[in-house]
Amino acid sequence: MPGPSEEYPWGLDSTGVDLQTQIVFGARQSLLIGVVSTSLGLSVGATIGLLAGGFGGKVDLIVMRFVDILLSIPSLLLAVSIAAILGQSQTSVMIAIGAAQVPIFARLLRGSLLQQRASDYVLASWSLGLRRRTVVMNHMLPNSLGPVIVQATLTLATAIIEVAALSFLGLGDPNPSAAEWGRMLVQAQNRLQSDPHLALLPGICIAVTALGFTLFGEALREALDPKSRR
Amino acid sequence: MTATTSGQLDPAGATGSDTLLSVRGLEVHFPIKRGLLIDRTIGHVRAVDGVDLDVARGQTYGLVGESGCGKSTLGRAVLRLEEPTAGDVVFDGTSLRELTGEAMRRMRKRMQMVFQDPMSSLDPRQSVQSILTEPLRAHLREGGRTAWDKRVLELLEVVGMPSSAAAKFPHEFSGGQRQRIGIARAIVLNPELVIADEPVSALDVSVQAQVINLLEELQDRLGLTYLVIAHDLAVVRHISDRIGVMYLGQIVEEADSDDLYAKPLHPYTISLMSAIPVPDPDIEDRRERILLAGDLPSPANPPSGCRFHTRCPFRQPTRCHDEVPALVEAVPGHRVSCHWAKEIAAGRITASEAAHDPTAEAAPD
Amino acid sequence: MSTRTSQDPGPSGADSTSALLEVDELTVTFGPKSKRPVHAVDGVSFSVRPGEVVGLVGESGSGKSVTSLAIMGLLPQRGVRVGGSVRFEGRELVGASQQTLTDMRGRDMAMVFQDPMSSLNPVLPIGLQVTEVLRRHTDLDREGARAEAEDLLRRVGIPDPRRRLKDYPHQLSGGMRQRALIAIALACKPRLLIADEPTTALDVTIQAQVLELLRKLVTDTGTAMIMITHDLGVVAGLCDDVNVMYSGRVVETAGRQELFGVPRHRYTEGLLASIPRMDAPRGQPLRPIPGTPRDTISWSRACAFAPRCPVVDDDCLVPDLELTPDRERRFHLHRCVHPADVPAAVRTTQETP
Repeated sequence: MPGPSEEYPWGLDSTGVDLQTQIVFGARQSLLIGVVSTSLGLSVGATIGLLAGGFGGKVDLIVMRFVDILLSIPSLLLAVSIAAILGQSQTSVMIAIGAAQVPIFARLLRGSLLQQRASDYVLASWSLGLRRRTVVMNHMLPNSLGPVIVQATLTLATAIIEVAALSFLGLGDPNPSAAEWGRMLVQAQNRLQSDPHLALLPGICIAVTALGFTLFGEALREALDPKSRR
Repeated sequence: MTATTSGQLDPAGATGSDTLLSVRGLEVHFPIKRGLLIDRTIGHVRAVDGVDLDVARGQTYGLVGESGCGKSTLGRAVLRLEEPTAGDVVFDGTSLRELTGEAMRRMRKRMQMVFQDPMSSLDPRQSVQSILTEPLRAHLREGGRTAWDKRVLELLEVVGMPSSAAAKFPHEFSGGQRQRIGIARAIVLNPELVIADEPVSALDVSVQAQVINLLEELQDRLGLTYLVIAHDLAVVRHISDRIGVMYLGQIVEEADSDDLYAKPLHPYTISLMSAIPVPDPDIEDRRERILLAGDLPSPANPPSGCRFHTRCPFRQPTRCHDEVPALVEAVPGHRVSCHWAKEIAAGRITASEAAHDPTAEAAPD
Repeated sequence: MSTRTSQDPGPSGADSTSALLEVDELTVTFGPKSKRPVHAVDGVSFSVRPGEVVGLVGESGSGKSVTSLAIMGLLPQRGVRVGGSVRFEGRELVGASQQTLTDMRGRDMAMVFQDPMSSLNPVLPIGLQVTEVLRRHTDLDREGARAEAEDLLRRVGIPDPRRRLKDYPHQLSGGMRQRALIAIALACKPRLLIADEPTTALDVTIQAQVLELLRKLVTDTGTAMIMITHDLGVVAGLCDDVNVMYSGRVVETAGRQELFGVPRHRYTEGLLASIPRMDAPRGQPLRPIPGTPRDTISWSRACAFAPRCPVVDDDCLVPDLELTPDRERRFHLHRCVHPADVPAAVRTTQETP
């Protein structure tokens, strides 16, 4: 493929479109996908985890069996099935990936809550006669969010790549020229020998974005930790 | 506390007219579950296995025993932080067992707990101000910010903390200070009963005395009734009017502190006392240590007959292994559950040779 | 600097034989190059004779555990600076090669730790953990080591030792595990045993068993022992000499009788007065030491105990206070400007000021 020139600073990609434009527009798409699908997974998963871990008993049992079933299906397979049902579009891909994340977040938050439930300060809250909702929402939940935040940042990065995999299988946005980093990576596969930059550039972008989110997550976790305030 | 201060109670205490707390036949059994898809219950850990005790108003009752005896579980069961599986707790005439949800929640402001571990008993995300105000908010509708803020400062002063502590977080304090905060939290609602679960065992030696003195001072000042749970017999003896010794889920001996120390009747109490190191070389050299054989049996499978017989240095060939001794009053105000208590006290039965050998084995069950 | 040489009799007046272990101005600094280095051990000196039991008493922050780790050479290599001297039978251990130290550990000196569950490898059977040590330092073959291991378990009072060799740590109770640890430590008959809070995590009745066992083993085998603890009762029953540590230094060294009978340093005095005693009358409030072990200042500026001392005055603000012998008893040392004068027995019956 033609390399960098005056008109096209980074050259053209395999479909003949300006690489730079693709990268920039791809950023928008990839970030959108990453954030939406992770938010979906987080919100639904955390709600399930909260119900199971905060209230326990029968709710916990039933809900977690359901989650276990979901978890036993490989995430990619799950995503593919959902995308196939919902039809070929960007939205269905995001929902599919989000859905695959739900059991992970549910289990994580539930585990964290169970751990907190065993601590003395929770017991102290019961003995003070605080209402259950207060104990779960004001005490157990804030102390359980640490691992969830970390997981969310990891998920953001992998979501971008998973979308690419789905595109590769033909389940994403049907428009072949829609810019998206994952797809660019996939498309650059047959030209790795001749034009490695076609894969390297989107690859680096994904890596840097992932790093950025991870660092953000770390900072967020630290900012929320009262111990690091002094 | 000495009998001359809070509460003029008759030393026999137990069934006096002013009994604040009364426990009858309390049992807490935890099911042991095993199974693949569906958990089946294959047995029970009998953490508390039939306990009767009474605590008079203004008194301090000390519950002492080693790990696995069930004392902490008993403390929690009294407050219904663990649900009893049998028996009842009567607080100031009201049976706690019959109280449901909201009624129980409201009852809680009259009975509070101080926890063992100062690090995990405070929410690390809550400021001291919030820790002390939250119970007020949960129970009292009226009051408002100013009244509550004043109360917080009052409490901090009472427990010996500076007012600057209110804005700080738990991790900024030492263990002893955190324990003071925990104590302040326990008294914020003006309870009548405070259960202290190992209040000083996680603290440095030089700080323990401070907290013990604080607890005693508060009892005097606020007219509190205490149930103190600890494994350190010296601490319990110092602070309690009446002491109950627990072994494997049951009380094996109960008496006033002075009586218990002067004349322990149950072999377990005798061994326990002889095991405690005393910081005096002459006493240490002279004393006769009675060692227990073997380890604590599993609470899921307690020995037949007298639960203590497998390790008892005074075990006799008859009655001990098949007959369960009842907790009876051997001497007024002094209850003990041992078939041979009178003989041991009279010196007619002595500890066996094995009781002095650190390598002795326990009797088979 | 300690005024005792290795040829002097110990504080308890024992025979003058040369010391097994000599610790001289030992210092351990964590993060020596960082902005705020931590002087965990700030100049500790004491000695141990063969067959003697020496106590190291202190609370959190005193540096007693770090001292024992430094003696055994178990501190991390990086981020830690160890200074001063530790001589075992004349051989210098500070700065010795890792090879020398690993050869000596288990064979010449051994350690028993506080928490038996985390000190034993949970995935290896007990028998293997004992024979491992035997095979490393002796020429016993597999069968010989197994027989010796069984005998060791029997000697520490573990019933049915042959079967127990195959058990995993979680199958034993806390007391049994501690006994197993002691068996491992004494397997190759080391001349020095360091016990770091060996019974703190155990119940009182089990503690009595284990202490009795240690006492018996030490007498039978002539092993010297350093007993590290915060429990003065344990020390009173077991140790010949006692060193009281505070904020990284030894503040008082004395024989058992003297320390409890006539404590000189105000910290020792305060500790003894603040413990509830089974044999003291009830009803009197305890006399605690004000403040916490964290309220301390650096020894290089003044007496570290000054912020909490009831008799502190300007004379105490002396940098690098020395460990000096007592007026009457030469081998009772203390680091105090205003040592206590009144014997302990009289003091407990006085009113609090």
